[in-house]
Amino acid sequence: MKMPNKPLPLSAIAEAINDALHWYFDGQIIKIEAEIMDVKKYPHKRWCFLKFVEKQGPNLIAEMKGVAWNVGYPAILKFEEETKQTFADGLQVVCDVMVKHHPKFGLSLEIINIDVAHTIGKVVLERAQTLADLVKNLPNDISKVDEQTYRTTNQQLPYPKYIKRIALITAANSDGQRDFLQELNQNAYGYAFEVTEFVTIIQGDQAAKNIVNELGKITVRKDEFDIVAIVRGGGSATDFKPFDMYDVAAKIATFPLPILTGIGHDRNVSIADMMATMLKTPTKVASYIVNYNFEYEQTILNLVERIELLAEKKIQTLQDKILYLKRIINTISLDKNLQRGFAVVYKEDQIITEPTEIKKKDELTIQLKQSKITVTVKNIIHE
Amino acid sequence: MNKELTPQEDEMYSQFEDAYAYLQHMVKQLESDSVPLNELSDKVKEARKIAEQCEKELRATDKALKKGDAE
Repeated sequence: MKMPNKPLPLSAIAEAINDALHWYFDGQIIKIEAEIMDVKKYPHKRWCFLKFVEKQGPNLIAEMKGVAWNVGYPAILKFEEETKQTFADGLQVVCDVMVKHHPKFGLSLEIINIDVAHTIGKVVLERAQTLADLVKNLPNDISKVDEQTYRTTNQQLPYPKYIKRIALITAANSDGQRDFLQELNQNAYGYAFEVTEFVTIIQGDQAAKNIVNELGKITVRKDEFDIVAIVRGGGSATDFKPFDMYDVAAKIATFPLPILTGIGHDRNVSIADMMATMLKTPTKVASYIVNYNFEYEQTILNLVERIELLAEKKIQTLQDKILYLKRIINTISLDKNLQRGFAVVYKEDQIITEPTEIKKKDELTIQLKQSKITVTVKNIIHE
Repeated sequence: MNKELTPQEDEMYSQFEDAYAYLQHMVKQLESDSVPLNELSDKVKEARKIAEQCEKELRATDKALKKGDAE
């Protein structure tokens, strides 16, 4: 198409581009695969603005504006609900889009739908690959038990007799930090703990690096701590992405102090969880520590109780022996007296030592040297 | 470590990894009947003292325990 030689108003060019796009794409819905960046959501208006980008290594090779209006916005909500991931920067997505052009705002791709299955499949594949790499690269530290269970060096580390000094990796002023400290410090038994906080950002692009760095700091001071707790509150699956990263998982699996994880999600298990001792939530990590100390204290008290019982039993046994010996001695001395011609008087099987206990008409048994005589009392003369 | 134990008790106690191991050893001694009668009462007292020490350790901060040791 040949353009006229005279100057054209901008709107004419915009209209021409619009016509060309309309002619080329004909209102068709196109499937694209791209990474999303600069995502800005306006939930009240049900709009979302973003950029679609394509990278080759570190280089950006294509970038286009993206938008979701009322038609596409429900697809974003559905995506977040089904993948448990936030529709946020850095995600690789497959979308149905329409190419749109506005004279004022320019070219954009309007989201019509998002392929949820693609993202879920991609996440599953990435996790499987990370786990396979961990087992392959660290065969002495990580072994696969079943699909959801891995045995790691960290999980096999011995625990101290009780837990007192805790290195806590968490985000500043987070729900996870608050829940953990509250549960720990308000425990019903009055146990005291010394918590050293290693506060860092544990979501977003730098999170994995931050967590590894904090673990590195703890390694240097490892003699100062009994265990490490990594806690964070709830969030979307995207927020937990750092806990699926190879570097974090490898560091945890080989870490020289026992690590307890409470990274706030009941439905999914992160790779970091699989490498450590998983307790799901910050509150559960704190409860575990309190209960661990309680069990130790109970064991000690039970042992002391056992010692008391054994000592009592020994004393009782000795007392019984003494009593038995006394009886034997008594019997021996009684026999000697009978041999000499003395007699023993019984009333109702009890030896009479006090004559006033005998009444008229009482039936008495008199034991002699070799025989017993039964008599009835006719008369009593007290001298 | 245990300022309330006598030096002899402390020496014996420190031969073991912890209170748990020491008390277990004591149980074994009693079960095998190798504790003389005149030592029974001391053994019980010692066990109770160790339990008290454990209770304290669990409830005090390390700083407080160290301060207590220094006094």
